[in-house]
Amino acid sequence: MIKGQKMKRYEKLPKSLPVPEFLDAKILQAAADFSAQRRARRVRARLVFGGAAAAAAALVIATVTLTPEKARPEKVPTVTAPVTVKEKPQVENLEWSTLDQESFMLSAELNLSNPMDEEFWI
Amino acid sequence: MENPLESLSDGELIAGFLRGGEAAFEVLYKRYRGALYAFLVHLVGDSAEADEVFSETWLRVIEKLPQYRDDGKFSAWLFRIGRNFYLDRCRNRQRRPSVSLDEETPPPVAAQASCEPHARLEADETGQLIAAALLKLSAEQREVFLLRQQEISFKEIAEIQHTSINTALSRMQYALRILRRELAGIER
Repeated sequence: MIKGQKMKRYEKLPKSLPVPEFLDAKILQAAADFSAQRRARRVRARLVFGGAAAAAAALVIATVTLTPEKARPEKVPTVTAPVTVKEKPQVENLEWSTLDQESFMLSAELNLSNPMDEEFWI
Repeated sequence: MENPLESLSDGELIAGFLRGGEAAFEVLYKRYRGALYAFLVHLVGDSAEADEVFSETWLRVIEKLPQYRDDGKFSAWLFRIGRNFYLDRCRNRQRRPSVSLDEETPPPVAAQASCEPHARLEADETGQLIAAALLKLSAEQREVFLLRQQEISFKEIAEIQHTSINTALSRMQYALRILRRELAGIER
């Protein structure tokens, strides 16, 4: 309604109408699907990012190891590889990282090797 | 018991949904579904087509939410998408008018390239008269009237219609004049 005006006849036109239930169901389902897709993409991105970081660290280690001592500049900073060796999670170890949980869930979904197998952690 | 999410702003609900909270979307949807549906039913005039435009609008909204910049005008953004989607359908229909396979039979009226709203029967007599009076407005005037009814500001209406604020105001003025004339006989 326009401010300062009295209620007019044409303002009896409803501002809101009930939406058929089948439309509600369709739209909310689409939102749920969209949300699930985004979650899956985030998990994949984290896994890829984690893999890329490990590869970069491996490259640094390889470069430092393979370059002869004399060829290195004098002030080479000591490179500490930011790689942590994954430990097989213990049942009582509740500090399991989110990434590990996601890897576990993803591998379970994709029927990859069982994260509880020794080989998975090597 | 009131859902605590209901106290959140549109922007907060959108952010929540994009972080994975489907419940946030549901609150946002329920906040605007009735208003958008009323707007489209009166704009389109045909409830079956309005249903389709309504659902396609929300599907597009879901898809575009990651690009939405929160400027506190979600409703204007939503109505703009709905209105543009409807106009796109009209343009497509005008480009590809349906052809009857049987040459003897003329195409049905609804299939002709018309985007004029069909007379939709409202539940009560006043509603019917108002809906009929809306048909007397031009498409632009009807849009301004219906958007204004949803409390969208004239500035936003002008942006939605890609026109000046003065034109939007003038369309509203003409729309009201026509509606007053058309509805003069209705008892208050």
